Amino acid sequence: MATPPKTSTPAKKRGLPVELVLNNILLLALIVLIAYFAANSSAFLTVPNFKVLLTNYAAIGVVAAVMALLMIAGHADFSVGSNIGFSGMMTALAMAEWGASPISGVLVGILSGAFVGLINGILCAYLRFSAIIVTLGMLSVLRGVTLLIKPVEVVGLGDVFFYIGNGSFMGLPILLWVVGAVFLLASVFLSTTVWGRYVLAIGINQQAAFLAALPVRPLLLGLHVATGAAAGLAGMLLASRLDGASPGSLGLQMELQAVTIVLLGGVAFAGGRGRIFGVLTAWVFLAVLDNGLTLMNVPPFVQLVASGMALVFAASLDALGNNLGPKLEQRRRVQEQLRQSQA
Amino acid sequence: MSILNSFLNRRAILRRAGALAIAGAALASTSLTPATSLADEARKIAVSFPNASVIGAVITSLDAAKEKGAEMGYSVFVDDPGTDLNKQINTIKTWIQQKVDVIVVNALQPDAFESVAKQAREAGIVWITYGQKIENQDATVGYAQYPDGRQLGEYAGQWVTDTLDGKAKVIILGYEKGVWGQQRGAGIKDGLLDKAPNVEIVAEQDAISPTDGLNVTRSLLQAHPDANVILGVEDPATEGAYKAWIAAGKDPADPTGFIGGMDGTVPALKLLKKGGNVYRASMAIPLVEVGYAIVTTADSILNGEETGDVIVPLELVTEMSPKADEYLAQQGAD
Repeated sequence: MATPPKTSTPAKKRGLPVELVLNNILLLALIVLIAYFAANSSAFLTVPNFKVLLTNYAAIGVVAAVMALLMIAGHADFSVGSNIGFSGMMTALAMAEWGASPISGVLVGILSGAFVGLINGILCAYLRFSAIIVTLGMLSVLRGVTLLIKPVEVVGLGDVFFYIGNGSFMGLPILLWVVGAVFLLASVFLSTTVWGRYVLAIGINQQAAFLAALPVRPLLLGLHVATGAAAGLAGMLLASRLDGASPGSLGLQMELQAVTIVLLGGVAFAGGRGRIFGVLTAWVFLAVLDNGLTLMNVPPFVQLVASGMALVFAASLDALGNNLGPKLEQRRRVQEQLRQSQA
Repeated sequence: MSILNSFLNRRAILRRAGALAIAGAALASTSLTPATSLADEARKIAVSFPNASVIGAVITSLDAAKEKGAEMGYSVFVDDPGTDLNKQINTIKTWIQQKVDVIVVNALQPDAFESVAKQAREAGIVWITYGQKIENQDATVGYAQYPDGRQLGEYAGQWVTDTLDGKAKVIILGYEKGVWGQQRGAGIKDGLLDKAPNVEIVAEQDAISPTDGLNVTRSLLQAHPDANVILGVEDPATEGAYKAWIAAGKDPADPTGFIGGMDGTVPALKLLKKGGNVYRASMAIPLVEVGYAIVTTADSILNGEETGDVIVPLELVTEMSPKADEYLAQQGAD
């Protein structure tokens, strides 16, 4: 067995911690964005406004946190938007027409979403159909099914249920407790469990992971079910915020929002790379952008341009970080070797 | 895990999936066949209506058109291209090739339909534009967006003048991405400022769904907590705004608050029927009347009559108005 090479004491770094900045480039962009909006709107940098902007994005945050795990494993779920609508509608029907209690309504929503995830998972993980094609198909199927079940809005789900989406617990909106818990669970799962490492391994090379006897198919199935359940939870949360559900518009195009958050958060579309903290940062970034532009009463067309430019800017900073990071690391190693050879 | 693996064995599933697919195809060929098809003998009215399958009010209206069509010997088809303009035009071109008798189009961007409308009319097909006006058409059926928006604005303005001495902070939830939204929004603003020139419009943002209305209004109420009038080009958005009003801790029965929208959706009409809350007005579409007008106008033009434009004005429904019941009944929600 070869002896490990001696590591010299690292040279004292001067100036800005460049690597630290590069690893958190989106966070830096978020700070700049917050500073900009704070300077332009007195209503922006307040605790109540931050509660509002995060609760506005809570439902999509729940989906993004779990979908990040699926995408790190190299799969995607484009059906989440319609799944949110379907699950929200099932929740609303359960409570308004089938006389279910609020707890049962919550369960109906989550289980409806999980069931959709189970179908996606069987088709994608066990039959090895293309996840993109299957879930895009499911996107249409679910919207149609939702409209077939009930083509008109269902409203009036009761005060208790409305409180879930609009009430507070210990001074924080319930929605923030929920989305915070989901982000925390996703982070703990990915960072501290052996299954989290399997997720990364599958994303890097599914075939190699399979040959290494990792539980590839059950794990992918589980991730699809979890993503479906997260969409179900998001649908339920939206229904509770609105005290009802609209089959045509609930969750519409949220799949694009979720994918945007996940990719902006540094998750590789091909899988194998990503951090939940990055996804959390991207989620806050988009929530801040949306809220700030609204507070400044930026006209809708200008908002479209500003949103697009901010996203491209953030993505380019992220790409810059990804490109510069390895180069700087390489340079550091070369300098280290030079110092060792001179010593 | 091994049980799961054996149950989810790929070959076994594929065998089952194959059987299911065959069964599904057989089922689809029987149960999913439309009641009418392009091969039917009846004269055909083809309706292209973005988001027709997702807006309850539109479904009601087009169901009425189908019912009236069947009564008068027409097959009424509806295609929903979502918001995909290219898909909408492709479908219309297919209809032109199939030589349907009448094409009715809800054009989100009217100018984009001039050339395809010209092709249709050259092929001897009657072209009716729904809710908009283009050069190459036989008639417009629907409503006048600007005057209808203006009526809501005037009602709100008069209310502000009578109740609040003409002073209010106003949020407008519009939809600048569609010409119809621009027209409604302009009507609302002009009508409001005409009756209450001293109001302050503190924000104008796009929102047409309940979720958009809720999120945008919640943010705007942070910047303008004293905003007390919210007007929207779509009731779903103002329904969301009403929820935001409550979530922001404002009194849902605030006598100085006013929320009003357009279209007359079920939740909005229920709030109006109930009364005693800040949701005070909606411009309701006479859904059945509009549906009937599509077919009767098409029939008249096919029979050589010059109908001109057939405009069905929206009707202002206010708090506790018996009209709310009438429109709820039309949508099967009384």
